[in-house]
Amino acid sequence: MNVKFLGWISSLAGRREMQVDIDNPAKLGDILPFSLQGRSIIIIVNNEPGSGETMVKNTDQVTLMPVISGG
Amino acid sequence: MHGWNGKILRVNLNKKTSAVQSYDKDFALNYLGGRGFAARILWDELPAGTDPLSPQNKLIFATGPLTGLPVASSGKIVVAAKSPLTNGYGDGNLGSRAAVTLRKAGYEALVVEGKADSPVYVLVEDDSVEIMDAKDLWGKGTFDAEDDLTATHGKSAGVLLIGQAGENLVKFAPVMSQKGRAGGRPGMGAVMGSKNLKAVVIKGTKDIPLADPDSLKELGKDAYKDIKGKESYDFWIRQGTMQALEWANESSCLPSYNFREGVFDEAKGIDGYKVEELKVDRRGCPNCNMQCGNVIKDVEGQEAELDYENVGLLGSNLGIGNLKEVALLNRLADDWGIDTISAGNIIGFVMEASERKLIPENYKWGSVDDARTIMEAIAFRKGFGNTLAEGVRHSAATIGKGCEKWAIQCKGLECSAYDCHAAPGMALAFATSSIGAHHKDAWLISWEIATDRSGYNKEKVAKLIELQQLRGGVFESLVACRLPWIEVGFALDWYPKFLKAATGEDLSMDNLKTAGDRIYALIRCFWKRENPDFGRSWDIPPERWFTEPLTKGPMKGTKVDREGYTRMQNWYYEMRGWDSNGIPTRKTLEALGLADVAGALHIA
Ligand code: SF4
Repeated sequence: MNVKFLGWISSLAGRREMQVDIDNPAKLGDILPFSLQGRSIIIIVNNEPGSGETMVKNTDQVTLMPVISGG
Repeated sequence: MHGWNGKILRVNLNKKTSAVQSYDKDFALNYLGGRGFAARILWDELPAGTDPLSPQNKLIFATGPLTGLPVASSGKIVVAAKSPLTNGYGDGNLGSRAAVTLRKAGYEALVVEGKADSPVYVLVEDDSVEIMDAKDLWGKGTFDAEDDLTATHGKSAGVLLIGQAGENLVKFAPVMSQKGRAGGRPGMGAVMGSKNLKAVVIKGTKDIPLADPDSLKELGKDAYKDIKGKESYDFWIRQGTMQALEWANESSCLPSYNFREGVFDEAKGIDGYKVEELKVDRRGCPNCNMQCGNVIKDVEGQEAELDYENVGLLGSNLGIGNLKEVALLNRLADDWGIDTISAGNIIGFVMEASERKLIPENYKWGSVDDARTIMEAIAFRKGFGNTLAEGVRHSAATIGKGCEKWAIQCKGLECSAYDCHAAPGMALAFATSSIGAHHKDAWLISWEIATDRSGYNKEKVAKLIELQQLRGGVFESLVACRLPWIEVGFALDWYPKFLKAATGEDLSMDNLKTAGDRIYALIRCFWKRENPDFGRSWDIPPERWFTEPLTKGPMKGTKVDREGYTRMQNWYYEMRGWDSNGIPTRKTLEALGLADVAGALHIA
């Protein structure tokens, strides 16, 4: 599974991208290197809105993006 | 009165006179300042049908009760007039020392009327107002002209000015300040040029009357600390709004090749990380501790200040993937005083017209030289540039042959840097923005992508209205920068506290939102009064987003569904209390204290 961290979330994750191998579907929140608790973060799984509770699998593309305001 | 000086300075360039007008607390509470003051003054004082480039138009520089105070990002000023680009209400805000000095000179607003016989600038020093000769400044770019004025009047003077584009009445010339800050996209700079007014220079030394100065000072300090302590602060300082480029590219909403693709293969060459590599300085507005102007050296070795909007339009929208080349275009636009968003939008339109062989010129995507040639032709109204200087709507109508469908504008104002093929709510936000297609009033796209980007639902419409109340209503009228709020998560409930300490008034967010609704309804009525055929057909996004799906990227094939859009448009009017043609009803206007406006428009 590929996870992209955009904007300041890359600082939180300590990287801009992460490749994870998961044998069985798992909760996204359990895989991330930081807690989603109390943070305003947009989660996109395969172009659809997701959350920490979304069950993800190896072939998924996940993007975590900040809420921004557009220049 | 506390918080507001209670005074508006009037300068008449025909008569070479000035006067000070007082206003009362009711006016202050109903319209707050900034956009609210400007909208009410234009409604009250402009004869219906005024030619925007005639001496009868009024150019308004307006601050609000938070401007210039030692609180977060409060160094901004609104500039407004009837727009020569759209023939409707036009405004924009920019960061400038002049925002602070106008308040310290004792005024919330400066209204410029009439037209000077020859080039002038207005010099305000507290109670003294002089109309000065500007013949030596006329014809100069904004960088040199501002340097000259600063050399004459000192660094404490705030300067608002136009470049050659404003002098040449380019209809999307903004007002500029501090070599890179721009406001008033719908031609406020052209209105200034039409008055032979090169600049306004303001010095102010007075104290702004405050209800509780000690509390305000403490609050201000705590607020700055709060902003600095936010988790996202350090990254903001690194990239500022430029982080939006990667964001938009990943979300298929980055303008590329005249808003066709939503993604750009060379995005990495112009994104926030590239800015970090090349950055030589950081600039910003007064009173801001999260300054977002990233300065890099362009291909000619000159400094240029970049933000996302400029790079989205002058970069990916033109197929240019070299940030130093984008910086060159940006620097020239800032110096000539031409709006970077509209310029990039129109140059993209021209490149597509050339690709389709609808015009004789041979311009190529990705060519900075071609982009520069077109921009120069616009700024100096040379050849076909004279047509382009009238805006993309007019240019498309001139070329014809169906190119109106890919003239990316609403109400005559060129869309800013968000492709909405796959963001129908943002398309509605552009289409219902109070000045034409601008993102400032309601940047719904973040929320939309986080929830349900393909949906056409009432929740989306309700969120759009809430954002318009806050961004277009409250922030544009208080006048303070909205970026601390969303970008670093500075809580909205700071603002009523600032206002309490400044004005002594208990103004809740709900009070402020109602003021936002009042201002929006008034602006809507202004459009109607100036354009008798104004109505729902004016609230439609560019045809391309309905009929030509995205050609690349993960959202390839997506477009806006017309029926879904119409449903949202209907809900939008219902929720706003406007009729099915998009005009506020009498009941709505009366509830907002605008019965006189309903009467003037003969709304039954
Ligand atoms: S965040 Fe940027 S635009 Fe807002 S006040 Fe600060 S420098 Fe100006």
